Parts: sequence; structure tokens; C-alpha cells
Amino acid sequence: MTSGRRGSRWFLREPVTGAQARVFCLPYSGCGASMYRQWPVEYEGVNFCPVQLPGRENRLREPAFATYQDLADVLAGQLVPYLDRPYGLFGHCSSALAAYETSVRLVERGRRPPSRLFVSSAVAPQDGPFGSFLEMDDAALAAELRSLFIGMGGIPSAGFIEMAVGVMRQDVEANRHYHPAALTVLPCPITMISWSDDRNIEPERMNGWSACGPTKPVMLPGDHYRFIEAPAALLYELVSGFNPVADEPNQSDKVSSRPN
Amino acid sequence: MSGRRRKLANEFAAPTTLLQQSLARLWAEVLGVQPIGIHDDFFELGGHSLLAVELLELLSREMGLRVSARTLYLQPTIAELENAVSELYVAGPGKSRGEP
Repeated sequence: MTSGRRGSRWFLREPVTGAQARVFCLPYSGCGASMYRQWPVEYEGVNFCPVQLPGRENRLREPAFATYQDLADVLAGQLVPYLDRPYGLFGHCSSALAAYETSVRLVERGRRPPSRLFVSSAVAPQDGPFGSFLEMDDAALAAELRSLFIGMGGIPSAGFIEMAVGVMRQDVEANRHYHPAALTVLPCPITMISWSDDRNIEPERMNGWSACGPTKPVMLPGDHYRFIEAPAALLYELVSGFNPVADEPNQSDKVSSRPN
Repeated sequence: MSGRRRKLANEFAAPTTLLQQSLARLWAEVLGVQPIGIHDDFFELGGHSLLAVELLELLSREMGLRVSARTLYLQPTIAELENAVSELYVAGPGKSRGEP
């Protein structure tokens, strides 16, 4: 349909070839890949690759996935050409669940497993669904989106909000219907990222992730939406996730000359 | 106009019609990217929801074109948008298309 096009519709920009590792970033509820626009393309040799999902932004004409499992089935295949180096998946809130399901699918299919799963502000698969969006009707979602949008500095039209609510509603329903039949324990470590001023998900609500793999809890300063700005502390956690030393926070005796 | 250089992998196709050229000028202004090809995707060029709202406002103010967000999202290239907008022209009863 779009002539002259090459590259994957699953990325707004193709993953770079020179990076040592990649982090595939799944968009937050109601959003598309452009929400990661403040993130660097590459930081310390790690390429951040925002994933574009069907049903939003330039893929609005495609139907959104009804379940995280359906999404994972397809996305796991789409990522295969980009798994030629160490990689991780990052998800915030409900997109952390989609990132988990995709990791599970890649492992089940015998692909190169992720080096690490990064979950931010999200309850574990068996502890959900959880979140304030679940109880909101469309009018409440519209009010929420309007205030978020104004908070970002925009003045949304009614038509814009109506479209955004449609995208959001599909994501909320996918979250509501996510009840994994069985938990798969991932072979890779999971970094559980909580945020000090996050009123949506307190850090202890994330503890269930330990049922899904070896976990490393991290609390970063900021509120629920801070990750959008790619704060340096978050980038540091993501990048150091590819460093084996970072996997063993309780074995600091292995790290020589540690201060304090 | 200053701006980032276009960094897309699809081949550049210059705007040819007057309408395409006008659209490309406004896209370049909003996105801060030059040049804009008619098959370039608004979001791949760095577009996002805030810039979309800005562009729609500009289309209305500068070209008298009232385009919905949905229309832009469903037709995120200039070639596609031109088609949608041309249809609007035909459908719009007596709507002025001139400069304000």
C-alpha cells in the first residue's frame, strides 16, 4: 500500500546493526512506538528499539491484538531477524505482560532467549489484572487521556480523544482478559523496576515476578510516567542488565574493590 | 528552514502536485525534517500525537483543510493524505480551499 517502503512495520526505525545488544520496548496502554521518542537510539552500545503494534499510530488501519498471547505469537516471529545479538525486552505496566508473553514464546520456540526481561510498574502475570484503567468507562478514559495530553503540552480535539479512547479500550480489554493458564519460568533474569513516587503500583506489588524467573528489584526516583523521559538511572539499569555482574546483587564479594 | 535531515530507508519521492507540495511544507515545519517525500510515514519521520494535533491545526489554519486525527493516522503519508483530502474537497459543499 505504501509504495517504496522497506523495513519492518514493527519498528518506526530499523534496529541498528552496530549495536552490541538490543532492547525491544513495547508501548504503554493506548500508545504507539512514538511514546519512546525521548529515548536514545543507542546508549553504551545498547540499541533501544521501540516496537510498533498494530491498531495504533501509523498502523491504525490494522486490527489490534485482542490478547497478549496472540500478540506474542506474531511478535515473536517478527523479532527473529533481530535476535542475532544479545537482547532484552522492556515493558511498562500492562506492556510488561506483553513483553513477558513474547519472551515465553521465543523460549518455547527455541529461539535465542532474551538476556533479560525488564518489567516496570507492573504486577506479575498471575497477580493481575490490576490497575485503575480497568474500572474506567469510555468517558473516564477520555478524561484521563485528555488530562495526560494536556499535561504533555497539547490541546486535543474531541476527535483526537475519541480515536485515542478506541486504542486505549482495546488495550484495557486485553489486560482484563489476561489470565495465563500456566506460568512459564523464564531462563533469563527479570529486572523489576519500580518508581519511588508511583501511586499506581507500589514496589511490593511487583514481587510476584519471582514466580517467573530470577528477579532483581530496582527502585528508581520518579512517578509512574517518568520512564517516558528515559532518565539516566533507567538507562543505566537497562544497559547494565547485559553485564553478568549486575545479575548477582547479593554476591558482591565476587566484585573486587567495591566501595563501602 | 533548518531541521534534521530525512533518515528513512524508503526511497525519496519528491512532491509533484501543488497540494503535495503544500502538505510537504507543513509537514517539514511541524516535524523539523527536510526534505519530505510523498511516501514517507509521518510517524517514521518522528511524528507523534502532539505533533499530529499541531499539524491538523496548521492544515486548518493555513490551507482551510479540516482533517481529523483519524484521517491522518489512517493515511500517514502525503500521497495517501492527498487522496483523502482531495475527496474532502469534492465532498465539502462550497468549502473554501483558499488561503485565509
